[in-house]
Amino acid sequence: MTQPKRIEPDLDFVRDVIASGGDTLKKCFQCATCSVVCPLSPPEEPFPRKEMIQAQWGLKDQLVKDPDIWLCHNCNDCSTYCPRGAKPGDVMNALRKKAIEHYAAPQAIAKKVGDPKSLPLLIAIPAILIAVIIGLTNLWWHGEGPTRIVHGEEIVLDEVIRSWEMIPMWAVDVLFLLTALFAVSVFARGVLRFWGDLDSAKTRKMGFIPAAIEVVKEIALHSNFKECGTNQDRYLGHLGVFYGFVALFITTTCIFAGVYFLNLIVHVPLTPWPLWNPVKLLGNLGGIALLAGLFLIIRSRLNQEGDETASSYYDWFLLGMVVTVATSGMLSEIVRWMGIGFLYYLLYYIHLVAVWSLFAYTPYSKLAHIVYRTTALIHNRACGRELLAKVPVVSLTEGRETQAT
Amino acid sequence: MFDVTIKANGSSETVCAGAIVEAAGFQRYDASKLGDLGYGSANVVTHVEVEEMAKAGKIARPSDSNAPQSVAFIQCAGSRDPDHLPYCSAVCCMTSLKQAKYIREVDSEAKVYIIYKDMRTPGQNENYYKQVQQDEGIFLTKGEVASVQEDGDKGLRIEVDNSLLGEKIEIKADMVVLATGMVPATAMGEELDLSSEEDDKKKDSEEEPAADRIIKSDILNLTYRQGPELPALKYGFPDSHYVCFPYESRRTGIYPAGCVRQPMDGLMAADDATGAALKAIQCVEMASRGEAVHPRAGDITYPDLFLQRCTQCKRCTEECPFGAYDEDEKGTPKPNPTRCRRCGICMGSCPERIISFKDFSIDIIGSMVKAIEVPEEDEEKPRVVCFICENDAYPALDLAGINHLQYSPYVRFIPLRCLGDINLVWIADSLSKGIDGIFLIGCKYGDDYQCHFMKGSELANYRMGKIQETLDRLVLESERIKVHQLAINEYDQIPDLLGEFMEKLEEVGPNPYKGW
Repeated sequence: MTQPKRIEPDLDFVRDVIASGGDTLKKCFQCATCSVVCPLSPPEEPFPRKEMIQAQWGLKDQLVKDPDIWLCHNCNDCSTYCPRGAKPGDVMNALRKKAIEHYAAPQAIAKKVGDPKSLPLLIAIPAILIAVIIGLTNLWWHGEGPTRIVHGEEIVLDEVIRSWEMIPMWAVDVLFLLTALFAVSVFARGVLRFWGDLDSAKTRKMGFIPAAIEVVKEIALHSNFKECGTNQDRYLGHLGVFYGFVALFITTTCIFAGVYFLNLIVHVPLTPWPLWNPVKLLGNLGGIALLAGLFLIIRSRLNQEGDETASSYYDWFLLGMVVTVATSGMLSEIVRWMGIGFLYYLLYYIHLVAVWSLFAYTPYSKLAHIVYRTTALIHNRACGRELLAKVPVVSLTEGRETQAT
Repeated sequence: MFDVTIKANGSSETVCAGAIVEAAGFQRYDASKLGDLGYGSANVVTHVEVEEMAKAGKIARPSDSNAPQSVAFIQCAGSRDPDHLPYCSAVCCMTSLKQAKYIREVDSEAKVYIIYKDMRTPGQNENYYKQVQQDEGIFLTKGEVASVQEDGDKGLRIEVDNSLLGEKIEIKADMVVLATGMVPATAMGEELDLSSEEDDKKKDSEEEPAADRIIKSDILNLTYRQGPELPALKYGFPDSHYVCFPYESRRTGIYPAGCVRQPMDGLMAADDATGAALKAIQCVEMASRGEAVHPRAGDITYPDLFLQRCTQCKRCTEECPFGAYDEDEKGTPKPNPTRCRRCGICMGSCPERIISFKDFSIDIIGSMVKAIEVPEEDEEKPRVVCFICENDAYPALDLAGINHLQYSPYVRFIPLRCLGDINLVWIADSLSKGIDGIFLIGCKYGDDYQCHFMKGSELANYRMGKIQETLDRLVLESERIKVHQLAINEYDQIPDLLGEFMEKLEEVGPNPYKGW
């Protein structure tokens, strides 16, 4: 006889989930309509039904390490068809927030990121930090005069507006590298713990590398996301944002590599690079893709708002951050072409603040799904658990024949 | 009319009543039979005990009088279980939800578990269920409780199988509340042994209708020959014809209402009381005019007994579904007209044919049989007489007509007040007259009977089982007689039923008594 599992509900966890956008959680009466309509739910231990009752019962330990909350792509089919209005889609969303909070360290920051009251503080930190850096570098390093020393060269200032006239590039890069390092280490710790939890729950049948390759392919094509057929706008939007970020990441890396490393071998022109430069072109295309994607995502969120789903503060926090990054970036570039120096510097400052926030708060914000979802998908794939959409459909008559024989 | 003696507080009072409403309510199922659910442990209680604690102002653990931090409700404790009460008691789900709220309202950190088989919250109660479900500290799951065990002084451990959480789980609780079901007050008591010594002599007792169940619940203490309480149907609830005519019981003028009739909540019981009271008023009114009550409402005839020829066989006093006959020491029937429903079952039961009504007698029906024209054998037209119950089967025949269904033209119908009126003499009359076949159509009997007089069609079936003697005397085939139970909505079967019977008769051939 199997040993019964000891259950100890965590009342605070239930309250947290309810406060994080899962306020409909308790309405569920376990009819399983959600798992039936879900285009992604696997046939074995399907979600989100089991997550609903686990969350009702406040089983935090099971839920935060549950890979299935990450297999959900939040198409909200479940919430549309739920006969009780329990909105499993929103509950899963809230559970993902709790999982991010659980694995992020220090948890105090995670709590702040998830709490609307801390928003001014979260904005003030980078705003002051970057303002101080601008002030200090200008005082200490720039001094006066018509020239600047950039990468050991003395540059005569001209009419061109340049970002590094406000803040030296190395200062930006040092700050952002450190911030990125911090984010990566927080992620690394979280993911290692998550992976350990996943491994102790289920044995893998496949190595990490082959599973990861398949998952990367899946993510590149957004094929699971596409299975959530009800919400084509969100699929396209997410695709735009995803590739926008990829393009911008490549651009930034190229410029970084060019300025600091390639420069040692050949002469690399000073930034800003001209618009026709392929790297620059890629960056601008990425920016446009990002903006277009954001537009689609926000529009679909606003359209859906109401009966089926409610966007939480957590959703809007990330969207607000990304929107600020994208618009301040694109606008500052446009303003630079227009030659409005003051406005350019202001927008660039906002851009820096937003990008720093994105870097620093990623392990605690919804953006952390990049890492946890990928991890969960890889582990799931390695365990050989297929999502429902990939299971070959067996027709009823075939089933009957096999039963007869 | 009843002479009612009421004993209360040591004194007794006798009043005259025209009708009685039996609303004796229910008792909770005896939890001491639920040892497997932990009853007997100090901290395992029932709904009733929690309600008493709530009334006293504090819900506390019996062992240490502290307010429990966690409470587990076990639903259907001894209900919907073949070993205990097989039925649902209708209110326990709501009671548990309410009591869960008691606990949560006092302590916002308390945890309440509800383990159910199914949540049954009919009607508006569904909204209350939804509201309670919203409470963050109330945890519900379907499941089967495998065991409840004491866990030192730390409380109780409850093992739940097949829970919605997908595995066998164990919950810890300071207190367990068993949602025990309702037992009607009418079921509390010893069952009366009605099997008389004569039964042992009868060899063919298998076919005999089951004796009525009378449970000595000490509620009515009737002085009826058939026993002191209402006959019980399933599970000790009094037979109140729940299918068609709620409140009607098998004792004219006595109307069960509330939880003696079926498990129900307070609101429904109040409605039920209204229904039963209206029935009681009708009964008093009609009795004052000498009229029968439902279903032959307004009938003012009575069975006349020609007692000089009575052989004291007691058939009528035993078979009357309404206990209308008492009897003296010798067994002579003593009719009580106000108890009579005018069904005529006694008329069918009497082998001496001494019971008749002024407008419905052995002779009247016999004359109808004799008046049927029986074609000569060479006309090759068979003749069938069909005795048919006027309550459901005869209207079914009307429905067949309305729907233009075609059936054999050789059948002649004689409606009866109840198929239980059938007297063997009519069968003998029909057969000796040369009628080829006799078809009897009555209502369904059994636990979910549709017979308006409860026992009529069952008795008719029993009597026809004993017809062999008559047939043997006339040297006739048993296929000539057929009994069928028909529900009113089965009218579409009538042509086939009659058609098959006609085919069977063709095989058997014509009645040799034709033309005698």
